[in-house]
Amino acid sequence: MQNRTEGFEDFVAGHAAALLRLAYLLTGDRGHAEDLLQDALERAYRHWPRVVAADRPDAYVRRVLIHAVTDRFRRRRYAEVQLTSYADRATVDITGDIDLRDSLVRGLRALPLGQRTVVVLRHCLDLSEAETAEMVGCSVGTVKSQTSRGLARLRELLGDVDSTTPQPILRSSL
Amino acid sequence: MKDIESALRSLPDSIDLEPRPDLIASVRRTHRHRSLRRRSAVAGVALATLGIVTVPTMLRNDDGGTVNPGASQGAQGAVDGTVTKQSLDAALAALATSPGAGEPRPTGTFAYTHSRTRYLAMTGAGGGNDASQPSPSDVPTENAEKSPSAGAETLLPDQQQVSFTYLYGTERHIWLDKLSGGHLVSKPLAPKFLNPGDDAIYRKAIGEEHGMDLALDNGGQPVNVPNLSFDASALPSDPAAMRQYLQDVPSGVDDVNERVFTAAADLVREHILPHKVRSTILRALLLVPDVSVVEGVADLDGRAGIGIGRIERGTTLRQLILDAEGTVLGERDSVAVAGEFGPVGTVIGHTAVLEAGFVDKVGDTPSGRPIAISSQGAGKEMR
Repeated sequence: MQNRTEGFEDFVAGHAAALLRLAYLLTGDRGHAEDLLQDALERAYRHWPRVVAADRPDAYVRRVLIHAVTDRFRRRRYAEVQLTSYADRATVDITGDIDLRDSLVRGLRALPLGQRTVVVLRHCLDLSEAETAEMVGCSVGTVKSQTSRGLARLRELLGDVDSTTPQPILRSSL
Repeated sequence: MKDIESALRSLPDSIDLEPRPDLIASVRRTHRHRSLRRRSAVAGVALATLGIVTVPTMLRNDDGGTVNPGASQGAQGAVDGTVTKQSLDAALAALATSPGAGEPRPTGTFAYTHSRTRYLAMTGAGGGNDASQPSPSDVPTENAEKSPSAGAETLLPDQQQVSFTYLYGTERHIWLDKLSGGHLVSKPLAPKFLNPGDDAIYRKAIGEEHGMDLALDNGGQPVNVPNLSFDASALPSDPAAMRQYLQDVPSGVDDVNERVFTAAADLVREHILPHKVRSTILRALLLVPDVSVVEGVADLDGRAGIGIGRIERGTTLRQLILDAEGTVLGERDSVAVAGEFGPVGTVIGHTAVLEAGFVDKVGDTPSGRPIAISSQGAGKEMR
């Protein structure tokens, strides 16, 4: 057993934080992000020899995480799709960066899941279209169209991001 | 000036989140509790919000499905309309000893299943989070068409208490081999909505569904497919022992009978099992006191068979549907006590296994009709 999971702890130490941030971007919810990370890591742990045999173990686990989000979104019966949670929302901070970050996170959450996923992978994680397609399990064409729709929608929602002025739509409920 | 792209690029670094210190320990703990993969698939709906309801003492017959009368032959030994647990048990016992039973799973070939599924998905509030109070005008009513203004420019999901329910559908092709992993091709079917007006919310919140085309490893899969990492021949061969085995499968479910039903469904769903093993699993189910059998239950494809079912958590009738040979045609979940999802009989989960058999390679099917596989996901990264 010791051998079978060798390297798992190092992997977690090296990659858990990045995976957690990805989970947060995909869900916009801290609690869900933590659950998803644990879920994805447990799946990876279960099949650790295969994970370490992959070209990029981190990409492998990232993909597991992405599908865990989709799974959760669809299959969990209740309370898993927190489209509405403000529980972990930071209190209003007028300083620019935090405000911008919150606006972006909320903007992402307002996107349909498919668009959100490809936008996060392409633009937050800087993956190529091909890498994104492989990770999501769809065609490059779908990645292109979903990304461009997602970005257009984000622009619509956020307006210009050059200003630290709070965005009326996104702040209306705070 | 920052554009959206560069703002997004710097977004991950601006998120101040650290994994919990006990992460590794809790992963290991969870792992110990999940030695056998548990699918939530056509799992009944845990309606904590419905509170306590009366548990009917008798299973209701279906009144919602399309039944193709010609397809119902009854199991061996079962007379139309009068199938009982005893008669079904006898038929299944006979099946286990029939010629050809106990065939081993060929290695080096792929077990292929083609199925169609509809599962319940529900979005929205309910997690006990202290959501901010949205202004009344922003809250979609139960029937969203009454407040079309909630659409247009207002952000839908993020700012409102949105709750909607639908059945999402997939057409699934799965190839699995114990040694080399496999492949999943899943195509979306048009969703079905339980409440009028939910389609508009769906389009905003979920949008386009694009399906999946993924290489799988054996159980380390990122999606829900059967687990092959058990040895069917090592399962108990006696129904009572099998029942005990199923009951002991870790699942986090308190109800013993529900554990047995769920574990059994997980084993027979989208699996090709030797007759003897399948027979023993199904006979173990018949030993569960609150399980009943009824004829004329239709699967998602309209084929009627014998339903082995139980009412789960007082609210949902879950049924496994068998044909005359004891093969699992599919599953059906329906409302057993009128409530949130509609009147009794409303279907809230439905599947049909359309084809199953062994083939030589991913993309092949027993009927000879090839299924296109994207080169992208084919085996890469998984080996």
